[in-house]
Amino acid sequence: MADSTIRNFCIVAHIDHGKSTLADRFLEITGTVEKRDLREQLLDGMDLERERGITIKAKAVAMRYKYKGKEYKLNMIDTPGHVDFAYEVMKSLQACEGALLLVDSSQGVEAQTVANATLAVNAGLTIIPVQNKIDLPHSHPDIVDEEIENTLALPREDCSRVSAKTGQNVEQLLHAIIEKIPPPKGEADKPLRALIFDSVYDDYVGVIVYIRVVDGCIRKRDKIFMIGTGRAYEVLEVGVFKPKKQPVEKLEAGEVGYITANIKRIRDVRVGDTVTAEKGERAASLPGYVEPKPMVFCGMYPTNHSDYEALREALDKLSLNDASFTYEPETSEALGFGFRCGFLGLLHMDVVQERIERESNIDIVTTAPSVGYEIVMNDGEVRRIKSAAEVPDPSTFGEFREPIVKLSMLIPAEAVGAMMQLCIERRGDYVKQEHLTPTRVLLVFHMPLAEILFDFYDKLKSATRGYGTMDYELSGYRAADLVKCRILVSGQEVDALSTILERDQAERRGRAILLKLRREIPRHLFEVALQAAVGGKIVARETIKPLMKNVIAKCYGGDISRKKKLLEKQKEGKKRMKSVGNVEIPQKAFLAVLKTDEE
Amino acid sequence: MHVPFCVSKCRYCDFNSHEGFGRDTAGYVNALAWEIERRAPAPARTIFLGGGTPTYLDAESLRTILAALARAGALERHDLEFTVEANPESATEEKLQILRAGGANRLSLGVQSFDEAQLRRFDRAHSVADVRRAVAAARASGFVNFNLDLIFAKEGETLESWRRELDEALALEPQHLSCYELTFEPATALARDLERGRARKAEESLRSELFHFTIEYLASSGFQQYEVSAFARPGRECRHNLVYWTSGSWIGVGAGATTALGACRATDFALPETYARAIRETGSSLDPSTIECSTPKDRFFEVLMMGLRLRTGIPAELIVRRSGEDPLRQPSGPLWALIDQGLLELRDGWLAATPRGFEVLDSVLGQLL
Repeated sequence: MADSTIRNFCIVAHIDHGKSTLADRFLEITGTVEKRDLREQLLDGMDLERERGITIKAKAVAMRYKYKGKEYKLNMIDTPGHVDFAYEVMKSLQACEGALLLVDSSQGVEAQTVANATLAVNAGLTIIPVQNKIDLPHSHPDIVDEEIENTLALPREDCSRVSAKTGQNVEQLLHAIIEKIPPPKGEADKPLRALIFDSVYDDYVGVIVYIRVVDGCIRKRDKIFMIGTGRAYEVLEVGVFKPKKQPVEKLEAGEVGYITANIKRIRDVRVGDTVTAEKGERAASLPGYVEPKPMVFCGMYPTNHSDYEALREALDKLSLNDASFTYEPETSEALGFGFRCGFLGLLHMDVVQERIERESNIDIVTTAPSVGYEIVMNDGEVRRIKSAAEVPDPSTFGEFREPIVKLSMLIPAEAVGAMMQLCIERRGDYVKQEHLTPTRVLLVFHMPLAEILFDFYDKLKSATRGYGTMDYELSGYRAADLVKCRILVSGQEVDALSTILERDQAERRGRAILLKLRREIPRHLFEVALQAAVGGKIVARETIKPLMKNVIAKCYGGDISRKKKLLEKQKEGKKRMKSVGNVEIPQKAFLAVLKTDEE
Repeated sequence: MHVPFCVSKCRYCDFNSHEGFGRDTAGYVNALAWEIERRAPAPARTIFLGGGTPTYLDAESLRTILAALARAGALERHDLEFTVEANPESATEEKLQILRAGGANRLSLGVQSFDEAQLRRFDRAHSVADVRRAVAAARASGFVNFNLDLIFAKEGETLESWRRELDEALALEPQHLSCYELTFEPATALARDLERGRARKAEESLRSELFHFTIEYLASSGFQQYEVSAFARPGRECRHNLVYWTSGSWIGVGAGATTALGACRATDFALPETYARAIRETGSSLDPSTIECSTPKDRFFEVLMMGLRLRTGIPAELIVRRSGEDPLRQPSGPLWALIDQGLLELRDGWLAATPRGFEVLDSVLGQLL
């Protein structure tokens, strides 16, 4: 049997509900980290995570805690909060026996909470609901209890109430973890079987692989084999995080830790894969391994052509540590040489874009994101399409399929009508509606992912006055009547602005894009014609009138320095634009297809 | 020469001007007179006493300034152009006579509008009647050469209402008119009004229409546009301002006044009290942080930035003389691109903006940076 003093658990929560703060408090109480060493939110390694308050890379920390005279090994696995990383969340959950479901007692249950809790229940975990931030004056724990009971079917008596910030009731929560969460079940004397639930790249030791040993035991110098990738390695180091890396002799059934094996590329390690012994009796693969597939794509181009190599290096460096981020060279007539990048979702895209700009100091132009489509060619071949530019001639294919997601929204009851209407306008299919409390409703739709990229979140936020939250997961691909809508500026096609639209909406959306462009592209000394075309047909046109008057009224001897600076500043603003033909297009315009602003 | 005092601050104004009440204007005038005596050229070709409002000063102060100019030997040339700025509320016959007797021969009157409601909206300190009184006083004092400053594209203005204002101005028989489009300069009361929705900016199409109408209407009345905002009867162009627009050299005295010598510029301290103290204690008031000398390339841009404001443009030879750069010798520069685009033209050795280039001069200049 596995060690009965082990408790493997994770914390699942909505962004900002205080997960990292709670984790810090655990580290402090268990003495894993001295209080004086405890930087706020220690588990979030990257600056970016700290700033955005989100956790991207799941991490595991081993803690020791004495309870009723017995020492327990508590392994806390930090999971990503956003469903873009649902697969990583799933694998982290599979490494645990229990989950703390953290809910902000002033905010209540959010769509993400429901999504994550559902994942945890499906993974067979014991769930301890926890209300955090009870120290806040505007918290209302009784109402939140009711929400938890109604949405997640978790009895309100089980719900802990803590303040991770002040430490109130956090020690009692540790006791509950020990009492309620079962110890791991695996067999120490069976052949090795371990789940890879995460990995990070380290410049010195190569890939660090996070594992949960299910059966058997893993030691330094063991020869191992990864079933999914079919690669064999020799283990160089076995260890746990406390929260810094600390080598140990071995990891046994039920334990969580890391191994290094001189693995050079993060792509050689797949989250969800199973580690077994290379020789002897080879265990069966653990269930549920899927290769992560990018769902959202966008083009990234350096503003200056000379930065191309630097951008490629930056993307390469980033992909070392993020196996779900993909990129490949792409050329655009309008933007020159750049890359087509693939992401798990919108948040993942935001995070990557920000990191590129921050870490590489390159000015980039990003095109509006698009989803990945499938096209069934006449000969039956299924092609994945990552951008409008890849759409083949319409006579060569039969079916055009788009990704459909199951969209869950948690919204105030009075916004139900508005959201229903919005979802239906956005080609959504109603699934269900549930009242969590008399004032809060869970609304579920099936909807094309592409419709969510079109400023859906902004619309939801405004329809619910900021109170609504949403979450989505891929449910499959569906055939639709889709066409490529091309955008022409001064008669020249700007491929980076082309987009795939539903045929019936092409004219309306095309016009909306042109109206947005008309606002974003500054006026020039000449008239700029904007056109949207489907096939050979122009479906919408707009013009940007030329500048009529632009001359300083007063300029005398004392004004020279100031006026010169003013003109220089205007010039500086132009540098950040991309010229297409003789038209200067600002970065913001490339995102124009995202905002509908329907008249 | 700068007098940084006014009776009150107008809403659109971003000049170096301060409400004079409670300030030590006499102390300032003494410092200014001291600086004039030491730095004024002897003799000067043109003199400009501007502000602020020079006529805000009392008769005694005006005499002090004029006496300093005389002592410096600045008033000796028979073809001297000596302009004084005045505002209608303080342009009394007494002060104008003192100025005329002291050598001034050109008056520039800040009228801004012939519409009482517009004057009030700008917080101007005078009425339309004050304007007529001031013009009569100017004539009585012997000023035959005078300019009226006007602002167009005011809120609520139409082509028709602006034409009526121009008619009122022409009826006073000035030799020169300055017609400025209303600008919303940062940190002015008017810019704040605009931000808070309490003021509105005229549509660009109307502003453009007003601009072109002004040019044509004044031309038909005998006033030729010679600079973006300046119109004159033949031979009555302001020679002083032409020094700025042809990138000449000049000496500036008084708070915030800029001096330009060749490619170098420097400005006196802007606050009147700081200025006066610096003059008293050190004998100089140049703010060291403002001293700058342009590189030939920068200077070339400045010469064009100023020179292309003139309807005739500037001689290519002058560009070379002022900046040391001869861009026209390079067959493919931005200058040639602008000529190809029909925004600039080179004719008889003069480089000028075309009519189209003239109305969008700032965009044209942007391509030369």
